[in-house]
Amino acid sequence: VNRLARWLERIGAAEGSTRSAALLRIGTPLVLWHRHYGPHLFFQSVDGPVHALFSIVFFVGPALMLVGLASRWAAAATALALVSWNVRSIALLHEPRPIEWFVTYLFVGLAFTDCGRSFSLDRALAVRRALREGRPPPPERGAVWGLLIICVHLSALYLFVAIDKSDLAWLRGDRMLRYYLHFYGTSDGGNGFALRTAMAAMAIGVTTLEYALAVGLWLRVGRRYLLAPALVMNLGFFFLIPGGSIVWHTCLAYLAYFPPDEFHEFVERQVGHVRAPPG
Amino acid sequence: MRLVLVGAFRAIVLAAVSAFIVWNPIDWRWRSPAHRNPFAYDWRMFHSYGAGVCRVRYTLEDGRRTEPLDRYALLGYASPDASPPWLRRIYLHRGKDAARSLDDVTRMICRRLGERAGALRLTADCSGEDAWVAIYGGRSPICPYLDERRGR
Repeated sequence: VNRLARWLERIGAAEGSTRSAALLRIGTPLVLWHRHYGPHLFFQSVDGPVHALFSIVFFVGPALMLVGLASRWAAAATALALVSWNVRSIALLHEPRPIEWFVTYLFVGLAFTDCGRSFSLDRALAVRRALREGRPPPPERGAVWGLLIICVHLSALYLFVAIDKSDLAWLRGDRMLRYYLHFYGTSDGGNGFALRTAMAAMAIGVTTLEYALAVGLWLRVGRRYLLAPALVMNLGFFFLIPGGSIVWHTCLAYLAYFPPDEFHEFVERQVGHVRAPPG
Repeated sequence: MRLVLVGAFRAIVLAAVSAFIVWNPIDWRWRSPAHRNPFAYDWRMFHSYGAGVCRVRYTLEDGRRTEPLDRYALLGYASPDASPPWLRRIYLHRGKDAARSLDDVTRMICRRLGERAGALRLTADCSGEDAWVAIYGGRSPICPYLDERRGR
């Protein structure tokens, strides 16, 4: 019991730099609005009080997150609204909505972080107050365990899409060839050896990368070698097939895998705050 | 004590959300729709892009010779680029991707061929959600077959 209590105490006390969470907080609303704003505009298709309430939260919550005012509450309200919207979509409309759920997990994760303690209006006000009172500015530290939710979701997604692709039809490039014909080719093509081989190679490459990302992003060495291919793959999804906003959400979510304090140091170095080497 | 409670809260939330995250794809992938949990959703992306697109080969066979048929020229287009999308990229069914289906296009070709329609053969395979499926094997004349199917 004592060991469990100590373990829980350690989890309860865990803190980290809030900079990576803050960048996620800034990027996520922009991508959310870009992709999903149309159906929730008041003048366009809001069709009742429940939708109106959702619409208000949908625009006000992310706006507060964007500027960094009461960010955590804003993230929680937005997450709650998105979860209820998704559940409603499944229950009433029977619509599969993978992209909406992906976005929702970003907000759920951010709701469990102190994402407003960096790069925010709240931070600017706190710094001004501290300077006025002659105190040092408050540290950019707080709860960041919510980032784990984002990591678990993205890794699970990579793992299961890779498992889903681990069949002969995918690996020999059948679906890749379909994408090629659908977006670029004509019905006269698709039989050449070179094209079939290229499609199979791409299919195997994507599947291998997705398996690797599911595990590798948790490891320092994995992040070092997998991040560049992952970004290239995402850009491929965006520019070669209409991958849309999910691509940018994914790229943002990679931030969650970096240890917050290491990311903090990385930003410090970029702005010229280099610590003297020990000794 | 407060830290223990905070830690317990964090551990429980993380475990519960992670369990839901992981359970959902398992549920979707390996259980029939009737047995899935009510919140299960399709997590696969880009899965249905281009479903139904076909690879086709039209030929004219008179018993001795087989020659490929240029459907663009037959229907009065100078090149594939000058033809409408539904002729360049043929889909099994009509839908948002296609104004005409494979059978629609083939019937147009049959009509334009007139008396030579009996010599037309079609080899076509179309993409399902996962693999390619052979639709017409090209072993028998296609026009009479389509006429017969329409008459049925």
